[in-house]
Amino acid sequence: MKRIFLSMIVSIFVLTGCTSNNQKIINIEQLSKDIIEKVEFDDSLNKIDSKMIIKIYNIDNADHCIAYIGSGATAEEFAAFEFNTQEQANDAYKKIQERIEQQIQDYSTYMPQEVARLKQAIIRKEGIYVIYCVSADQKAKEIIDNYL
Amino acid sequence: MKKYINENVYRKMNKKRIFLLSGIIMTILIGAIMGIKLTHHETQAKEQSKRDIKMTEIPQVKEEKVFSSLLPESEKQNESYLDDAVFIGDSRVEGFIQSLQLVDTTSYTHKGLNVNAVFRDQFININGKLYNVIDALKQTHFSKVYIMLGINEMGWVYSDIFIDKYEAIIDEIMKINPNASIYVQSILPVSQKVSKSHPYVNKTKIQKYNHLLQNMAKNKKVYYLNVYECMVNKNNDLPDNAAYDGIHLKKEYCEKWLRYLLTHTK
Repeated sequence: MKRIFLSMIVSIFVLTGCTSNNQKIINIEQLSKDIIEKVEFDDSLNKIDSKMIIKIYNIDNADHCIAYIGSGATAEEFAAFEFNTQEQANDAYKKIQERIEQQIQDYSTYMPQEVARLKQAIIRKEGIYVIYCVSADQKAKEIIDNYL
Repeated sequence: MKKYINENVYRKMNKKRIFLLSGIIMTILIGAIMGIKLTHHETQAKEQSKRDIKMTEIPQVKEEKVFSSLLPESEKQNESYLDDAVFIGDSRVEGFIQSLQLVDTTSYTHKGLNVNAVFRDQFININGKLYNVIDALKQTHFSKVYIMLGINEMGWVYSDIFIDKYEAIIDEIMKINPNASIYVQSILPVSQKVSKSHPYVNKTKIQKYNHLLQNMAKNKKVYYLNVYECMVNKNNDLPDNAAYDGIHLKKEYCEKWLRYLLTHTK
């Protein structure tokens, strides 16, 4: 009887996507796949590896990270980070905010039309995850919110 | 009577002398005119032959220019060849580095970077402190420098100011590291649509600036890389499928660019 009860509790946690400390689990691989396949980006985005992610975002402590960047023709980009602790995620959130501010500054004189897109950038922190996306397509927001 | 005869003889003799003198003067004059004409012809002929010599010299000068600064195709190097290189450039170079993930290469690139901003704008973060390109180079180990600048300067009224500043950048790099190989890259083409619609960036101006850059590279004794040639279609435009906005290259074209750099080395 006890065994059945325990397995029921474990099953509930797994199905609701929660860890024992109530931490939601987000499959950032699947989220990235959905974003790249379903969102209409103007520019063609390319996947970059963790070394380039560190260079671009100045975030070097992610447990897992996925990012796509454009050619520079637009400010469009997408990044998803998974950390070991919430503190790390908080720091990364601040760094992404700094990235957005820097991009706004760079594009304001160079391509002012991109500033509006950057000001509407999606940046979400959920537990140990940070998700960031610059796109004019509303679908990006819908997809990300469905995962959070 | 005798006096009359003598006078007659004397007049005849005078007439003969005058006639002879006139003949001599005429001959001298004709000779002089012919001489002048001949000299003129000779001068013309000499000038023509000088021109002919110059004409035959022009290709030789061009040949010299090509071999002194323009790098011909060479055996392909590995990507690691760029590990000790510094790339200085605008958003197109930034896109190139990021798309191809050249993480081991130093890149001092910035959106809208121009020859003035290289000395002025502090955007390079080294150990938490911001530096301009020249000051950052002073703290960087490198043996090659690849520069691509010019598209953001096309709106400038005077192209000689652009070249003067570009030369100043080269001088500074030479001072910082006299042994470094300096590669001046040609300005990449833009699409026909951009060329026809952009307020100041167009095909003619890019070609003009590239010509100036090639001459500058020759004068400064640095290498000129005509990357432009591997990017253009038969109309000398960037193909429409090469860039979303007709300027910033997609990954596929960045790969072409990289291949060009690795097959055009010192």
